[in-house]
Amino acid sequence: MDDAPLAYLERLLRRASNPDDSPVEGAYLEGALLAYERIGALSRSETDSWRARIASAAIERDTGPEPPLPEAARAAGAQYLEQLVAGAPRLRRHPTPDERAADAECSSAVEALHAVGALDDQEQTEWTRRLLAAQAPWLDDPAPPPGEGPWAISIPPETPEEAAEDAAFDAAWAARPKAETTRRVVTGSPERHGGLAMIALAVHEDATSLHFHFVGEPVPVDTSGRHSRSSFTDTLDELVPPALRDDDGGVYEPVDQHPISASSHSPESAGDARQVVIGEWLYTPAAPDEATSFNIEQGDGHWTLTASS
Amino acid sequence: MATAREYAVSFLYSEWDRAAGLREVDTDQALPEREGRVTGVLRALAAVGLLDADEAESWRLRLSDPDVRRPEPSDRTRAVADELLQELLQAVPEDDDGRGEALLRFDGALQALHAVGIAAMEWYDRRNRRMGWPTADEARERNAGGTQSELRAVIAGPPDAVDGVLVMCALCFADGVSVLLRLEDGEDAFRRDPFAFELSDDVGTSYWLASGGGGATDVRLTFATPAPVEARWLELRGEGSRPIRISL
Repeated sequence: MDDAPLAYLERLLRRASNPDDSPVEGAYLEGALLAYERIGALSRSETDSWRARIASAAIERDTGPEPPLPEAARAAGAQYLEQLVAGAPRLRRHPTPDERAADAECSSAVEALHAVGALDDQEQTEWTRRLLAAQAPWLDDPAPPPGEGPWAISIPPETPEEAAEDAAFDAAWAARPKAETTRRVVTGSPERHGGLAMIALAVHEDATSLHFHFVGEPVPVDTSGRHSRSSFTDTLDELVPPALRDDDGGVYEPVDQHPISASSHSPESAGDARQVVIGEWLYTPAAPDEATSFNIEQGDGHWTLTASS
Repeated sequence: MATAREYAVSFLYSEWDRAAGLREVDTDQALPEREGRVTGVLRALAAVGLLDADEAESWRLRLSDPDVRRPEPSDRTRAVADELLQELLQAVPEDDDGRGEALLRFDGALQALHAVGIAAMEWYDRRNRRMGWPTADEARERNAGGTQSELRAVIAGPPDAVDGVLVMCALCFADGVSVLLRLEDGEDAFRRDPFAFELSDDVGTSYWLASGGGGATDVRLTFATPAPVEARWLELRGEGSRPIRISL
């Protein structure tokens, strides 16, 4: 049998055995099996076998293989994991490609052995814990958090340079304005230079934010009709904060050379679609009440935002 | 009951799907992780005797290059598939409410054939036409708008926050309206459901919320419906909050 139909039937099997997924309706399954039988991808007996497997998948989930794996096979699996854990590289901030591959090999081996019933739930947790203890010996309790989904581990500095980077980052983060409340908003306009329109300026308790709307040149659209993600990242890199001054003599310094927040809406159609970004730059200090007009300059572009009286 | 061998094969196929999915979104930056994962899976299954060396090598090739999986179907196969789909579609009552067994059977066959590259997308349109549903082109046309490209006006919001929500401004585009919000009540914007907001106006326009998102304290909503020129105000209503009126 060709692999592609088999792959699809395995997908249906996973769906049927996953209580969080929508069930595979009987008529839907019959349609799929009939189609594969009709094009010659399944024999009658294979059709019957798949019908039975998928129909019973929901009932038999989590029961494990029958018969269970022989003890010798389970022991061989455990021996392989022992080797992996013994050689597991310590997590580092800048791992080599070999270390990255070894890390993936360790975690996927535990997952595969659990999937085929060579490890039960408790054993899987214990092996994951042992692996984590080898990879991150600085953790007091190397237990992964419960549930699924990504999780993160803080990796301590290994060199004086990394420690200095940490200290500098912590200091910059502590000094960063919070901009938690908004005292007033000065509304902008559609006036556009170099693709940028300044749509609002907000005065916060310790900073001033400048909100922009950017329309770029047409970007490549991939075969699925979507913008490539890299073009959004590239666009953000190019969006540097303009010079900002007020009519009270105030000059504002950008907190970061990148927008502190930005989002893009990518229409799926249109070959001439453009990258559209709405975002904001953050500056210090907070504009004083006396400042009512703000001058923004970037290259040949010049905008003025004036508070309504 | 499934055997350990069947569990292993199922796991390998799920890895194949996973690898194919990653291939679509990932770059070669994650190559070491992908190779390490394949190695870990195959060595583990070989260690417990569920794969021999030849099978492991065969799976290594497939998992490392998941795109190589589909021989081109013959014209004869396509013709047989089309004949079956036609037969199943004819059996679907035209007044089916979308939940009937005949439709499910057709969908099951269509999806199975489409998954292996045999059924053309055109069959989805044929089904939709029979059911009175929009075709792909019609749906695309209905969903057009909200491109945020042609900005026509920037509208100020009220000066004060209402129930912790401050309207920074509303952006009137040629094909939609965007509203920029700040959450001033300390609520985590990431936890706020942007689709819990509705927009209306004084002339009864129905605004379709196309997308929403933002950062830690801000929410941006994009409605794919332009505000009519005769509208004098917009009103934003969040779940459990008072409405916020924005004068146009």
